[in-house]
Amino acid sequence: MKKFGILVIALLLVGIVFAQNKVKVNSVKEESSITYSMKHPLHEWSGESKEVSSILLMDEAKTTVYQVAVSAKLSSFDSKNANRDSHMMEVTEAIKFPNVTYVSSSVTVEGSDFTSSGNLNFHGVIQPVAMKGKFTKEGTKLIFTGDFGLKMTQFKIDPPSLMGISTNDDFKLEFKVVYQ
Amino acid sequence: MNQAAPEKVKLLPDKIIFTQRIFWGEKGLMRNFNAFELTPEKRMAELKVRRTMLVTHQVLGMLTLGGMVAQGIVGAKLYHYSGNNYESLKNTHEGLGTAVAISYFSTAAMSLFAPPKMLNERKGYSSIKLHKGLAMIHLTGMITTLVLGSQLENNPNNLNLKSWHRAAAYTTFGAFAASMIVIKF
Repeated sequence: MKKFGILVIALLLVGIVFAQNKVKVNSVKEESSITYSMKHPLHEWSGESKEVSSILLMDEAKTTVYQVAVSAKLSSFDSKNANRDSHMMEVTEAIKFPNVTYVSSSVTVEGSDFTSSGNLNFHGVIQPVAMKGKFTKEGTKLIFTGDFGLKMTQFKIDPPSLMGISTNDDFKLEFKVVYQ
Repeated sequence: MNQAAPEKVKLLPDKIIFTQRIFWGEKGLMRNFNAFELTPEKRMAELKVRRTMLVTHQVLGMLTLGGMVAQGIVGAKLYHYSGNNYESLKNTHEGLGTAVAISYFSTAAMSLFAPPKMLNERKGYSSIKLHKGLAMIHLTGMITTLVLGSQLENNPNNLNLKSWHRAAAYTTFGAFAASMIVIKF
């Protein structure tokens, strides 16, 4: 009886170890993007980065997401105006802080919705952010889309100005990250 | 999860207009000075110089536009004046013309000789490309206006010359004003 008990415990322990096995799932760069949108009294614009790198930490069955990390180079954000993009790199000090990154502390997927909270590192300032979005599966691809609002001053960035007028402090980040 | 070490950013774009390249290119004249060595920290400081020059470009541009409007009003009045009044107003027109020319070329210099931006030009249309395209028109118009104006010194009664001078001035003003308006978009 005692031997049987030890075997059951041993099997349970083995089961727990295997259940903790995590796999890294990489994003598909060509299909992923992050877009920021900003407003100035004279116009509105958005800039898209197609150089998004991301990793999902999932269980082997790819049913549970444990953690996500996302990174994008600030120089990759393209608003179709190199002068404006360069100006954005100046105000965000992209030479010193070349990337914007997000590392989650929690990710919950329920049906076609997901929520995540974690830390966004932008301009060398780390701020907690929470987001909601949509999750879809297309064959072997896992697609996360969503958006959330931020303020430039949250990250100690002085909003850029044009013709002596500053842009709005608020800006929006939209994302579509595809994993396979 | 550990974050990857930050990547290095390219300090200069691949293509730089020759007026900026002479001073700010990798082997530009300014690179001989310690303060403008091509390092990440010094390039960040250099970008502040660029920002100051471009803000000055905007301010001088608006002053120039105001000067052009004043010149247009004074120039139009000249057609209705004669005798001493004409001479007095012509002196005002010439004085204003000099001031506008100085303001105009200073505006141009702030942009043409500023440190380069961080990135290469993006593909496709942008308001800044249109702004630069219109500059070709108003620069040509400005030079033409000034040349014709100086020729009028020796031919004050040449009506043909006066018409061309006025046409060049109005074209210059139109292209200049348009170049400021397109920035809005």
